Amino acid sequence: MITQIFNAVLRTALTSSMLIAAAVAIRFAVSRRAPKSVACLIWAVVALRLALPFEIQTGLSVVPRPAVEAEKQFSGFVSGAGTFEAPAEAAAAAETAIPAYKAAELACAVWIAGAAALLIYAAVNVFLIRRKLAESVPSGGNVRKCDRISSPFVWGLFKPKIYMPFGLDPNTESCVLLHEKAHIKRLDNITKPLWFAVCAVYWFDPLVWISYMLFCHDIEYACDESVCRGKSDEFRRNYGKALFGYSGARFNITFNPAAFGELAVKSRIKRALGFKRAGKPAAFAAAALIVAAAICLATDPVGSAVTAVVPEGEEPVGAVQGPAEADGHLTPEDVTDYNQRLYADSGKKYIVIRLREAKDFIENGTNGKKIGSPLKIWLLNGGGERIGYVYSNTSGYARFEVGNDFFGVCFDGDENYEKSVLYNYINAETLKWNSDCVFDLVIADKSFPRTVVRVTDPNGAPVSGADVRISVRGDRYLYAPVYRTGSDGVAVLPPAVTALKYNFDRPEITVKLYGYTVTRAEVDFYREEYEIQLEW
Amino acid sequence: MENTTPKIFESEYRFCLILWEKEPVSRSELAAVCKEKLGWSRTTTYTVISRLAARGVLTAEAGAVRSLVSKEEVQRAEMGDLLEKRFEGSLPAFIAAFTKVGKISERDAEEIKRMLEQQ
Repeated sequence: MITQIFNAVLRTALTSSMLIAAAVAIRFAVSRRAPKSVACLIWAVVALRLALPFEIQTGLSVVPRPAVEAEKQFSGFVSGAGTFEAPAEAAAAAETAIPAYKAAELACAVWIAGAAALLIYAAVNVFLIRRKLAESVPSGGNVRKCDRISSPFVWGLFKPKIYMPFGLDPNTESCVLLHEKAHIKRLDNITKPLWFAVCAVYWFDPLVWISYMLFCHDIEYACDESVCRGKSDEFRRNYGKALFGYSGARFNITFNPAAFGELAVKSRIKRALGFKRAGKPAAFAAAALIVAAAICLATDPVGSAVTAVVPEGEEPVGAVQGPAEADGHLTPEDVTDYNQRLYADSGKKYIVIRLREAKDFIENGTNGKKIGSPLKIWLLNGGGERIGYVYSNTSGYARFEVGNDFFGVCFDGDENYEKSVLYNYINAETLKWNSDCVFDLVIADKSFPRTVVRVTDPNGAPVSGADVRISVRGDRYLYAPVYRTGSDGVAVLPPAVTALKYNFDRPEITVKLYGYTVTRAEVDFYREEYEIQLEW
Repeated sequence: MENTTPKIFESEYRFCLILWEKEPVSRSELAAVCKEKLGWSRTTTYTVISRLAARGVLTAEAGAVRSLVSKEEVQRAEMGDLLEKRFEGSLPAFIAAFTKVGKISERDAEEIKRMLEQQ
């Protein structure tokens, strides 16, 4: 789950980089001409794009379809949106993805640690500021004064108050009040912490930090602007003087309340003194630019269908588009044809796993339905170790590039499906790559009975430590996963149907203990309990 | 000018105003008043009480909080500070500054002068 969120964050960071670059450009382009209150909107667009987990698709989007990168997609199985046009990309992804999955988990841990550190930092800061403000005293309205602060600011999310140091001269005090009231009116006391939260999530992305810093500057400009709008030159001079009193401007990107006059004082004074009524055309032009950027850059192209975070409670969906045609279904011929083309081009080895729903598989064979909900499929090497994973796509396929040590796949089961293994049917070294590389992984839903095997000795007493496996008769590779009986002599295996590779197979149960082997051939897919007696 | 009155910060002064009005008063009652008038939490009030007790501004023994310095003493000390810092200790310069901005009347000025001479 966490990895899925991390993937989504990485993807959003990548897809939003164009928007942020445009936002910075727009911000500097309109900063002299258009009102700052309008210019600030661009940061709202950026923040929303970063904060919202889902993506809005429009036909006007110019964002490139998410290119596949190992960093972005550890699942390793991605191609262009529903087409076969990007094999090289998918191959590159798969190449790095399989060994990269451990690195992916490490990266995810680092990401969480960084975000946690920033949030803890913010929490400590909040605690310290609250302690400072505890001894403030009321000073009329929502204003309080405090000995322990050096510059005025607004504090509090829902009941914001203006905090000021004692001993400000009357001019400064009135200017400060106007400025801070403008902050409250703009709800900066809420948006600034929210922006910081966004930064905590995207802490690895310098573009996000740049946005945050510019946002912090722009809200100050916007407040100066709303205070100075339509005021006399004298007022503006006084306002500039008040700002000058706080010219200890420091460059900080910390979590601090919207403090008066801490940022960019020189340029703010200049603006306050020279503030002209921004023309309506300029304001409209700026607003139009921002709306255009929001539509073209903050949305995704139709059909990109990259959904990373699904509504809570559901298994997250990897951004996986496999061999799927527009209607979401694909015949085996299509896949084979695709593979032939692919291998002729690249000389690389690909495996396609087709996920088959057990009941349908028994009844309809290989032409039935595929499982359309994305499942996490682990890749196994010759030693049975997990070497990576992919997510199946919504058409029930999982495709990935493999090396010669690839021997199988397994699925761990989730709330809907039992676990299933396909092992040693696939030997990457010996496969003929131009035809036979689509494999069925049969997956049983939870209603399917598991195979419960009770092993007894000739006297009928339970036998512990016996190896039980379920496989298909005549299977050359008897490498089906082994389950060991407990002290009650019972081993619980996945449903027998998951041992099937073809619907005409007959599975059997094999029990092994000290070199004794007992095989039971009559295995019924829908039967749960079996009792097997060993004979010495 | 001799100055042995302990330093009191602005917000502490607001607290002292309440104390002078109510003393002798129990800690919890003081906390209740401070909550109403200053918006302070109980712990904040208790912290301030113990800090001012350590500085010799008040005493909080036997369940009652009492001030050790009077309002007049504090005011005089502050004024003395101001005189030293801003008017090179010159009383006439100090009064002249006030009368010039028209903030105090002749009578008030005389009174201030008398007060300071009593020192």
